[in-house]
Formats: sequence, C-alpha cells, structure tokens
Amino acid sequence: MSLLLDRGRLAAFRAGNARVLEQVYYAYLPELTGYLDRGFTFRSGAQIFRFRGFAEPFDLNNAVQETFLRAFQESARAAYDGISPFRVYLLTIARNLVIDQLRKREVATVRMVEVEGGEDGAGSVLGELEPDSGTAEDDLLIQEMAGLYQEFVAGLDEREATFFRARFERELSGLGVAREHGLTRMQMRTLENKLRDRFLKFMQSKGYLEHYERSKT
Amino acid sequence: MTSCAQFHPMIDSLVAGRLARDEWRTLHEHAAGCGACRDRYNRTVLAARMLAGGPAAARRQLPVEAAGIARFVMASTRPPLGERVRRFLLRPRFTFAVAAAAAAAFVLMLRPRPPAERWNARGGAERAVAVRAFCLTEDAVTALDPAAQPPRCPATAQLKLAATNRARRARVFLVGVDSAYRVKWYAPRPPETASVPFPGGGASDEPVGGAIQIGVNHRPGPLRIYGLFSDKPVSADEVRAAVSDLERRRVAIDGAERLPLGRTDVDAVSLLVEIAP
Repeated sequence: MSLLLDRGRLAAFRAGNARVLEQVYYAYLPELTGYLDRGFTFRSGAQIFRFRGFAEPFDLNNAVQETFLRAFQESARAAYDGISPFRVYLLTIARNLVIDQLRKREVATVRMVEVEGGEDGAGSVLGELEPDSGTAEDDLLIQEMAGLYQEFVAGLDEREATFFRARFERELSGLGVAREHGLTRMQMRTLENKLRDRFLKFMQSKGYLEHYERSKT
Repeated sequence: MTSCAQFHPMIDSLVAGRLARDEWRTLHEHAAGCGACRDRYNRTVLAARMLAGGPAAARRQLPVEAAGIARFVMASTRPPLGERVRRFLLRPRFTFAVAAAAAAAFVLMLRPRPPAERWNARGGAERAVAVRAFCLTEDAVTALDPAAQPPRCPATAQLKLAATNRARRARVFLVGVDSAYRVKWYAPRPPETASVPFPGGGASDEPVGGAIQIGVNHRPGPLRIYGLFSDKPVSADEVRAAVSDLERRRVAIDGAERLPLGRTDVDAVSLLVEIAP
C-alpha cells in the first residue's frame, strides 16, 4: 500500500516536510535498492536489453542517492499525482536514471546485454527481474571478499567458528547463541567483542578498515 | 591536488557511521572519478557488510550506508538558506509588517536627517535603518525580534542577519559583541576591515553576509548585534576602540545600546539577542 495515499501525508510530502520525506525514504529504500541491484529489462527501438544491476556498493549507493535526489526535487514532488503507487513513480525515476547513464556511458555498458528474442520484463512496465538474475562475473569482488572472510573463519578454533557463524552470519539472537554455547550473557558479549576485534584486525592486516578502530574511539 | 590517502579514513568512517554530510559528498564526488578509491570503497563496505551478516549479507546495504544517503538527500532537499529566509519574510504577517514599516520609513524619509548617530535599541523596522536577526534551526526559521523576551537562539543553530536601509546609506557594518566584550565580525569578515557596500540599495530586510554557525565562536549568553550604516566606511579599528571603551567603562552589553564610535555621520541600530546553550 502506498505510503502517500494518506492525503495529509501527501500534502506534507509535496511541501517538502523533512519528517515525511524521511518516512518515504526509508519505506521505499529496500525496493529501490533491490531493483537497482537486480537490474531490469528495457526496450530501445526494436531491441530489448537487460541492465544487469549495480553489483558494487559504490555504484548502487550512488544510484540510490541520485534517484531519491530526483524524486524529492520540488518539481518531482509536485508532479507526483498521489494516485498511482509511489513505488512505480520511484522505480521509473530509477530506471530513467540508469538508461540516461547508459546512454551517456556513465555506467559501464558491460552492465547492459541485449536479450535475444526475450520478453520485456515479463510484461512489467518496469522490467523487473527475479532476484537470482545476477551473473557469476558480477560477483567476482564479492567472491574475493567472501574468500577473505572464509580465511578468517578457518583460522578460528571450532567453538569460536561456530559462535561466529551463529552470531555474525546467521544473526541469531545473543541469548540463544549464549545458551547453545553454555555461556552467560556477559561471556557471550566478551566473546562477541573479541571476535569482532579479531575480524577487524584480520581485515586491517589485509589492508582494509585500517582507520576503523581509530575512528571508532 | 587531492591525495587519495585523505579519503581512506573517510571510507572507514563511512562504515563506522561517522562520516559527516560534507565528507560524504566529498568522498563520493572523488570516488566517482577515481577507480582506486572506488575499489577501496567497495571492498571496505563489503568487509563491513560481511561482519554484519557473513558473505550472504554482501549485497545487503548497511544501515550506516542508508543513513548516510538519507542525510545527504534530506540536506539537498531543503531550500538554500537565503530562500528559507526569503520565504519566511514573505509569509503574510511579515509582508504586512514590512508594508507597514515601509510606510513608516517613507514618512521618516521625508523628514530632514539629523547629522548624528541615531540608535534604535530594539532593532525595530520603524526607523530608516534597521537590523534583524533570524535563528535557523533544522525545522524552522525564527525572527529574533524584540517581541520575544529576550529573542533567543540555540548555540546549535545558525544566525542570519538582514538589514533595512531606507536611509540609502552606501555601506553597512554588522558586528556582534557578547557579555565578555568579545567581538564577532559578521560583515565585513576578516581579513576585510572596512564596512561593506550595502547589498540591496534601499531595500528592507536585505540579507547581509552568509549564515553564521553560532556554535563556532559564540558562547551562551547575551549578544548585542550592532548595525552601522554610513556613506564613509567604518573601520574594524573604530569598532574595536568603541568596544574597548564600553569594557573600560564597564557598561554591560545588555544595556549598551550605543556603540561609542564618536562619529556623527553614522546611522546606527542595535539588537539584543540571547544565545541559549
């Protein structure tokens, strides 16, 4: 359901009320991020292309930022009719932004492929793709970083590795993990902090997050 | 020349959620055109995402990333400072007040101008020259007019000054003095030392100078803002000497409506505001 169906909220949105803009931002951020991450298909003349999505955090963050900047411009807020779902309005802005960037070659054209005889987004005007549409080559950097992560976990003893996976990978609750490992809450916190520090030190030894500790204090 | 090394701490600050809004913009503008910094950005963010959820979280935006974008977008959505002040001044009740002030000023302009300092302790717009101060917070612009007792602005806010110059003096000098006789230079700002040309001819409520970040060099307490309108420049040395004179005579700033410049060709006004902690 569109957040802006409420007339009062819509009026505040159009007036640029900071609180409402923030509500809208956080309400639609996950969908927008998913859309720009997965990519979409679009038609250009007689051809159908597939934009493979932004695989890297920087590109994705930039596109999300630019989309919201455009959507929250005074003229764009005024132009939104309040009848059609805001989601469609926002994703259309994102789609136009990416197509513009592809035309201007601001986005590497390697992220765009022609779809041979394909369907244009299975009938969706936004050409939305399924979550598994990414390719292996998109994930090279992620695989590399995941390799480092696995290297770190492999260096832990069995108890620590189990705890680390449960707490940081599976994001299980602290209390549940503590019970499972026969730890008090205090012991669980101590181990968690110790492992986080070790992970940071490990990443720092590989040249990442060098300034993280300093900026944390 | 920009060194990439200066951006590395910013990237780490980003994933720690400690990147200021201006730094966010600087970093992203730089990384957009720098492959090495973009690569470092990507790897650092991925490392932080994995710490938050393992390899499965590699494509999941961190809350600090979302919050950083939000801060930047929200700030960009707000109208510029000058525009916010202009809108505030154009609100109907202020338009009426300005119209009334203009009528009063017109009557005053018809009267011969005495060749002496004229002081308007309340900063009201009934005089040919006036100074107003506006307190700008995240959510609102508030006029620090004497109707508020006293006009109060938090130290975390910004101050914007506007001047009315129906006397059509060529120059204006805006300066603040706090209770410890510390001088705050608003217009001119150092290294300039002479009063600045009035920006808007005979306009009323014409913004003068940029926004003032109060917290940078103001302390909580009373602050008197003096507006000195003249055709011949007023110098910073003259202002310093006048403030020293006040201090020597132990005249409390709350009551120091006059700045003893010793000049007869200056139209002067002052406004007392309170900087709140």
